[in-house]
Parts: sequence; C-alpha cells; structure tokens
Amino acid sequence: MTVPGTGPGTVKTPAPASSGSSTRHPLFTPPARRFMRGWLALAVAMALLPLALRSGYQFTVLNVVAVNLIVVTGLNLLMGYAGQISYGHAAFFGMGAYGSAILSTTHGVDPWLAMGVSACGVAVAAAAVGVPTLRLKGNYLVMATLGFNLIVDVILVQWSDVTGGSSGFVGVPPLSVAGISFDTDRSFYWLAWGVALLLLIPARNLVHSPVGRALRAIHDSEPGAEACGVPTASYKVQVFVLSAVFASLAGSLHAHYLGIVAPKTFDIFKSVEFVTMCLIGGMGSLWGGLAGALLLTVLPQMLGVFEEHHDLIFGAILLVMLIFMPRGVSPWLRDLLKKGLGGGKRPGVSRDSRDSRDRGDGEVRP
Amino acid sequence: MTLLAVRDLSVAFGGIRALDAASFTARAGAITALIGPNGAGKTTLVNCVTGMVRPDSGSVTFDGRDITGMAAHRLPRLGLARTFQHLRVFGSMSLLENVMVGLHGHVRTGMLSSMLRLPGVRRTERAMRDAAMQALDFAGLSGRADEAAGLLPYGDQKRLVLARALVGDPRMILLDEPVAGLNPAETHEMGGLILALRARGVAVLLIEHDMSLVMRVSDAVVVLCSGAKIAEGAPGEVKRNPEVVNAYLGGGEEFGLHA
Repeated sequence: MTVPGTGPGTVKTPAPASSGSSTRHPLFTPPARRFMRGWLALAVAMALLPLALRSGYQFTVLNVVAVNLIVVTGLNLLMGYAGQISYGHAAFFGMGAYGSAILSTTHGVDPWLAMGVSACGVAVAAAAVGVPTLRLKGNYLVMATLGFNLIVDVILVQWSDVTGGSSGFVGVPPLSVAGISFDTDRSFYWLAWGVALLLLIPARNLVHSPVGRALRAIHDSEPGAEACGVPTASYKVQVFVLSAVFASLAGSLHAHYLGIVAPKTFDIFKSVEFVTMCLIGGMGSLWGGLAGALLLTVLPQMLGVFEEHHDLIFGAILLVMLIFMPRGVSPWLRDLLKKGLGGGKRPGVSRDSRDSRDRGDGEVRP
Repeated sequence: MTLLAVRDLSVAFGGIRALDAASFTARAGAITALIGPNGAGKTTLVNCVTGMVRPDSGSVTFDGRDITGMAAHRLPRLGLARTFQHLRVFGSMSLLENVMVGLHGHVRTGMLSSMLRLPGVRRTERAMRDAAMQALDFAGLSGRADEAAGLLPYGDQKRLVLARALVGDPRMILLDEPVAGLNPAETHEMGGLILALRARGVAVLLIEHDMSLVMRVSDAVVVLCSGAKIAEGAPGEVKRNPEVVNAYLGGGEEFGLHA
C-alpha cells in the first residue's frame, strides 16, 4: 500500500473529502486486518489438525494448550499491554474451576450456568483484590498477587467440606450442547479451541481500540497517560478484572473437561507458569500468547523421554530462549520474517534513519 | 478574562513549606510565565493545578470552575492540558499513537464497547487519527507519524509532547520547562511554537528557567520565591523589580541573567 520513502508529502495532505479508504494512514486497520488473516489461518489449521492426530493423548495435550491459551490471552492484556504483572492468575483459574465444580456437582446447577456464575464471582473478587493492589508497582504488585494466590490455595486445601481438600473434588459433569456432550478428548477439542479462538477476537478488538492504546500508554508512562485524560486507576482495575474472567472461564472448562479438580493445579507455581508463557511467547502480542501456551505445554510433554532429567533440560531451553529471544518467540519470529523478506519494506523505524538523526548527544538528557 | 486563578495555595511536605499562600491569575489567550529560582515551588504549584498534588489549603479555579484536587485525568476534557519536564513520552508507541492518546479524555469508549468493536469505536478511531495528524503537523512532525517515539531525538520529543497536549484543542496548555536541554536553535523554534499556540487562541502557562525565552514570548510574568509570589506584571517591569533581582542574585546586580 505504501511506497517506501514516501515521507511528509503524502501523509500531510489533509484530503478531507477524497475517497475514504485510499487516503487512510498506513498505520491503522492493517494490524487488525492482518490479525484476522492469521486468525482464520489458525482456525482452519486447528479444524484440520484432528485428521492428522492419532492418539487421544495428542488431543489431551492440545486441549490443555487451548485452556492455557485462554488464560494467557487475558494475562497478556494485563501484562503485555497494560504492564501490570500478576502472579495470582492461577487463583482466578482455580476459582473458576472450583466454582464450576461445586455449583454443578454439589448444587446441581447447569454446567454452563455454573461457568457464568463463577466468572461473575471471580470478576467481583478480582475487583476487590485489584482496587488496593493495583496502586502498587513492580515487585510490590508481584508480592501482593502472590500473597493472594497463596491465600486462595490455602482455602482450597483447608475448606475440605466444600472443596474436597487436598485430594481434590471429583465427579464434575461435562459440558454439553443440544445433547452433544463434550466428555471425550476428541469432542472437547472442538469446544476448547472454539472458545479459545472466539475469545481472541474481543481481545484483538480491545488491543486495536483507543482503550487498548491507552493501556499501552499506562505501560509506558502512567503520569503521562493520566495527563492525557486516561483514568489510569480505573483502567488498570478493569483490565485486571477482564483478565481474571478469562482465567475463570478457562478454569471452568478445565474442571468440566477433566471431571476432577485438585488444589495443586492452582498453586503459585501455576501462576509462574502462566507468566512464563506470556514472557516466552512475547508480551504485548496476542500471537505471543499462543506461542507461549503451545511451547510451555507441549515441550514438557516431549521432554518426558528424558525422565528424571526433563526439568533440567526444560530449564536450559527456557534460559537459552530468553537469552537469544529476550522479547519472546513471537517478536523474534516477526523480525526474522521481515529480514527474510528483504526488510525495509515499511518506512517505519529503520536503524539507518535513526542513525542519521542522532546527533551524538545521547537519547535522554536530564 | 481570567482563565486560571490560583488563590492562597499552601502545600507542606513534612516540615518543608513548598507553597505558602501563593496566588496568581492567568488570562485567556495569553502567555503567562511562572518563574523563580530553584526550589521556589514552581513544580509543586504545577502539580497542584494539574491534580497531581492535593493542596493543604487554597483553591484553583479554571474557566470559572473549581478544580482544586480534581483527578488529573479529568482536566484535559475541561480544556486544561499539560506537558512534563520529564516528557513522559510513550516510548514504545508511534508518534501518531502518542498524540492520539492525547485525545483520550475526549472520547467516550469503554472496555466493553471496544471489545465488541461497535461501529462508534471505528468512527472515533478515524476522527482521532485525523486530529492527531493535524497536531503533528503543527509540531512539524507529521512526516514521522509512524516512527517509534522512544527513538526520536530529545528535541523532537519535546515537540511531540506539545502536539500531544494540543490535540484536544485545550483552552490552556501548561508547559513545564519546554526548552530545558534544548540547543539555542531548538529553543528559538520552540519559542515560535509557543507564540503560534497563542495565535491559535490557546493560553499558555509557561514554567521556564530560560529568561531570554520568557522575555521574548510572555505577556505576563509571575515570580515565585520560597513558595510565595513576590512579583507579577509585564516582563519589562518584573525584570527591574528590586525584589526579583534580589531573589535571583542575592542583591545588588542588574537582573540580566543569561539572556
């Protein structure tokens, strides 16, 4: 669409009434459109993939990927876009799972309704946690959210009359639609990936909206965003609640899929795992979330052949990845593709243009 | 017509009185400079006016409306925008996106409507983009709209934050040391932009140490010292005020400074 090197001349011309789409600035709409192309490709790929899968085990792994992807998509909005770190999302994941399990089993509520009620409950809980903790920054926010996860973990174990204690809660009914029950690995595959793909769309819409831009502004400079009219405190709580609801929905799917929930699945190490998925995949990129969820779910399974050494090798792989792809897999792949296509296709920020403008007096002055 | 009125503003941080019953007014459509030696309380005053610090006593009125202690994010919508001494550029975003964020106080979109991508969101987005391009044009940066703001040279970043403050069509912009760290040529250019703001009918409250710039562009000068106003008037008068000379130089010499 854009010719390389077209500078001020083309962009500057106001052209108020001339034909709409052709005068659009190159920066906007394309990312959203590009996303939809990628989304469609992914949807087709996931629809065709079952033809190539042999064992139920392969379906199981992919189902876990889908559930993780839902959590990571929400967490990415919070961490990658708004820049707020949470090490408590396993707690919301767990609250969704236990909420669904307890409501549908103990109280006989329809699983879908249980899922919705749990998500609403988690939203309220997240708001209650978010309002005080999101005033904190960096390490303090990490500690506060970790603490919250520990508390939830303790409750799940100790309140055994309701939760089943450390041995877990069994007999959770599967989800079903119009008589079709998603109670096998194969059938649940369609539900899990359907929901995961569907939830990517509102996430993408948010990212490519004024609100999404405001969230990134909060990430870069909170006072700056506030001065621009962004209600930073309210937005941080809202995106925290939103990401918690994503985690809750994933937790409910998890519970109805496995039929059993156990507190160990929702401890702080699970939270760390979710954060690592965001980091490894690439923060601030929805595709990064997919890459992270896929890698960190599938890789440990593949490393099973190394038996007792698998943790060691897994750790080494993560270390190497963080050293060579510090921004994550997704940005690394994007750069690689750009380089492979000859680079410099877009007139964006190339190193040459930056050097020529740098007057050698440093980038930031006091 | 008085646009901004600060009355008896006092703020203490622990035992330190940063502001001691400071009062001044700024007229609509005019450039009012706020000067004073380091530690005079200029930054605290700015922070009080822009909702970053809540004053212990006193009031701030903007356009006839009491804005004392009002949350910072509500001010752009009322027509009061600001820039920061430490720029606060959104480094990971493009110039255009930076300026579009400057319009956030004026758009009505929520998280839910954005997620559903209601038609209004798309329309808003287009209008924001057009307004942002015009503001970038004013700052002489429209040719670089899609470059990353964080990689921009310092002088250009200074003009970028000006565009970001201007884009919402404010009645007044508060400029916190807009030429600090700029070379003489860039300083001159920034002075031209400040005058161009006034020509557009935008009032400017200028906090600045560069006296030659203050003398060149200001319609009125307010001098702050030890948290209180010690002089107010036209640049020429203030320059000859003995109290001001005393505050700056410790007495005796002519108030020439580094002009």
